[in-house]
Amino acid sequence: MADHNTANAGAPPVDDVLAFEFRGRAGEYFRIWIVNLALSILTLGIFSAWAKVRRERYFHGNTWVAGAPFQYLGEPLPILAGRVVAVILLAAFLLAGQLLPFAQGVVMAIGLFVLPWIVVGALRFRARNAAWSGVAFRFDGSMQEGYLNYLIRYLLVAPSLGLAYPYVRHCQRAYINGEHRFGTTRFTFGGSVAAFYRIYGFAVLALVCCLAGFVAALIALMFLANVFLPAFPPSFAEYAPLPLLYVALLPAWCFLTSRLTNLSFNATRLGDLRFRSTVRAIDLVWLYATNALAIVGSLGLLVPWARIRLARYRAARLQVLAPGSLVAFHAGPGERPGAAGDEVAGFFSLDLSL
Amino acid sequence: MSPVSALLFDDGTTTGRTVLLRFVDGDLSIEDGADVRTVPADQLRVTSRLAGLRRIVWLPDDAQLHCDDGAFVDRLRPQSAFEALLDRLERHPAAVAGAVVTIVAAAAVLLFQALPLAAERIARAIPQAAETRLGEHVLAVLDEAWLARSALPRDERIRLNRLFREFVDTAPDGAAYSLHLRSAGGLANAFALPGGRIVLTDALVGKLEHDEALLAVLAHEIGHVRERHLLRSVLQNSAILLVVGMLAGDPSGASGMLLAAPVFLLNGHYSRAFEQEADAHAHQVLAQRNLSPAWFGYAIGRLAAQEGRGRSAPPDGLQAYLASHPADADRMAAAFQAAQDFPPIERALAERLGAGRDAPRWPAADLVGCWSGWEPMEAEWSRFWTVEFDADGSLQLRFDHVDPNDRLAYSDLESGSWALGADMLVARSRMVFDEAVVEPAYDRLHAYRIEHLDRQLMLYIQSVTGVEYLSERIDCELAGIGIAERTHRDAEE
Repeated sequence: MADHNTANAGAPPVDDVLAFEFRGRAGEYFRIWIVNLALSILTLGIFSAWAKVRRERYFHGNTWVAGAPFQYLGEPLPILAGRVVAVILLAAFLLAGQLLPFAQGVVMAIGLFVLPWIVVGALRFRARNAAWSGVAFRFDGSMQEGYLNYLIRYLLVAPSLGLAYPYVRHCQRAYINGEHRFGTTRFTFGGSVAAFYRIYGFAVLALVCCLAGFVAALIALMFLANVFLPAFPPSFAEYAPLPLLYVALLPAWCFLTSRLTNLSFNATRLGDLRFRSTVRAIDLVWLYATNALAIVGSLGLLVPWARIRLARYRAARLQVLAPGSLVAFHAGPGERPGAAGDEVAGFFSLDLSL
Repeated sequence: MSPVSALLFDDGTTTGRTVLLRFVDGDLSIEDGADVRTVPADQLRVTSRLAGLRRIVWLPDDAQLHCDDGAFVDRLRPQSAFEALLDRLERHPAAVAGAVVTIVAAAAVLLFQALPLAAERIARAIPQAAETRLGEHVLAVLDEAWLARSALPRDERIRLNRLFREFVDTAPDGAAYSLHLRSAGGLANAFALPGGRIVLTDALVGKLEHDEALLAVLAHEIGHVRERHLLRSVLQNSAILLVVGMLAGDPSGASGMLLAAPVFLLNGHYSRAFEQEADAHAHQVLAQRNLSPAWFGYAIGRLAAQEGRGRSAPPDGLQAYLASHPADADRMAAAFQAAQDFPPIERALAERLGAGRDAPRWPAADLVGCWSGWEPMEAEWSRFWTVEFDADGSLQLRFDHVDPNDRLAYSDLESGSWALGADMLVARSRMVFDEAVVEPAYDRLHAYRIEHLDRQLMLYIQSVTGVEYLSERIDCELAGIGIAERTHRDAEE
């Protein structure tokens, strides 16, 4: 642990490749996770805001690059307030959707209209609360642009029969990556629309192959079931296809995620720094499949282990390319946006982080 | 005390300088090369301890010190009791073990006690009018998509409605309930909508046959309405998703999807609890109306037989947990248990067996009767068949082979207790005889169905406990069973 002092204080080597490294340990995180989960339950969820801060601090604080860790500066109270709003919104959304079937359209419309606000709020909160070496990130994207990218542009998708979808994703990525700052230094995004179309094209191909495999597997399974287990419990037939579908679609999904992640980083610059992400689909398939099996097999006890190894893999596959010496980044003045957007995003499982 | 090294960020950039820190007399002294700066420790703000993470110390002028020596930072600025406790819990093996126990216990209490209770309270707080509107809307949607008008004769529909009104109107909330007869493409089903609309399909009316069995099913559906099961299951299912999402902490990604899988299992558990509640309600209401709860067991048995559910062994283990309804055998056993103070319904069924056919009648009191027919057989042989109704309620089908010269050649008692009607076995006509009779030797109620079509007898026997199920095709000629060309009344003439 002596090297970070010099690495951070002095000038890094010229043309350096600075590797990301995740130093979290599963055993250590397990204890943090289980104790915080128990406390969250005992306090009827109130403590979950503190638990979230500790989780984010653990993951940020164990992610190192250029000899220094990231830091998470979020405070529990704004997160708690955000969680209260999120629970109310989600409960209203679910209840309205199920109790008033005729109002479902209205509820969906309201949900869609609130979504961009949630997305932008989450981006601001996350960026603001992440720091490295004393300088925080910022997200400067305007709410108008947020509505353009997360509402208006979606209107193109249906009339174009989905053909506009990669374009919309490209605009969103350009918005997210291009509007982030580290201190006063802007990120820029140079990914082309064509690159998005290429990735989604191959992803659709992969999806078709996966679905064909799924149908074949299903037919084979039903056949075997009928031949060997005449008294097959009908409930099995009801529940088997869903997990099987997950398995079947996993490769296509991992292909898409890995390529999009790589493109997102590789086309982004921070000043004159570049990034190199080399996530591989096959690795993700292995990681997600074994993680899922471990989690289900351990009734959830291996969730921390799964998270740690995913974080370790992602960090190991990410590098910063510094052409010259790593120049100093300057912190900018700024206010602290509320946490509500971030919390709602977490609940609706939109992972929009860089 | 030896100095501690730290990184100082004081110029608003990412460039830190290594400095040496000392804690002297309540003050932090920062040795930055030749400069030494002193800051009172109570003006410092620090991040709390978490595993071995690097700590941040904020100076009053927003400069930051990043320090790996947690113990030094703790001396500098002692953690609050809350933060110190958290940190100790996260390190203590006993606390970790306690956390596992807490989580398991809390999950059990939450999912099996707190959630259902909360859902029940909320459901009761929802105004009746809102529920009624919801039920109205759902029925309209179902009518549009799936249900058709009842094809029952008008008189039968009127009779059923009258039966239903007589049944519910004595209850204080009777006015809330209404019966809606529909046809659902041969599907035998009854279901309750929030607010009191109860839908009954033609096929169910046809299959249950006896009014008491119909009322038993209706009482079960009324139980669903009274306990607001539909609303409660909606509330519970929404809440489970929320809870699982929170427990998982991060509902995104593949692991989140997999963690949602147990929700299906819980849905089954809740829905079975509701079915049991509604069953108990049916037993209670039937008993209040002086009808035996065994009618509910009878109805379940009939429906199970029709759906072929009786074929398989009762589910156990995981399969029982996944099922949305309790096992038929358990439901019937519960109904017969509740019917202990009532006379057996088998007697009523047997009485009706006679009463339903016009002739010959036998005294209902002792249930002794005989019903017979004959059919000519090859050459001079004839066969005389007899159904005997014994005083204990059992029925026997007997075939007597008759030699015209000798009057009685031999008597051939067919196995078991069959039930047949005299007007049944008429050649080339399709006859269905469907009844439940008691088998006294085993004290079991059996559902029998004998179908005759063009010299083929189909015999179905199913015990109402739902376990055994037998179906057999009997070729009358191969089995030596002759078919009457005439009924016995014709023969008497």
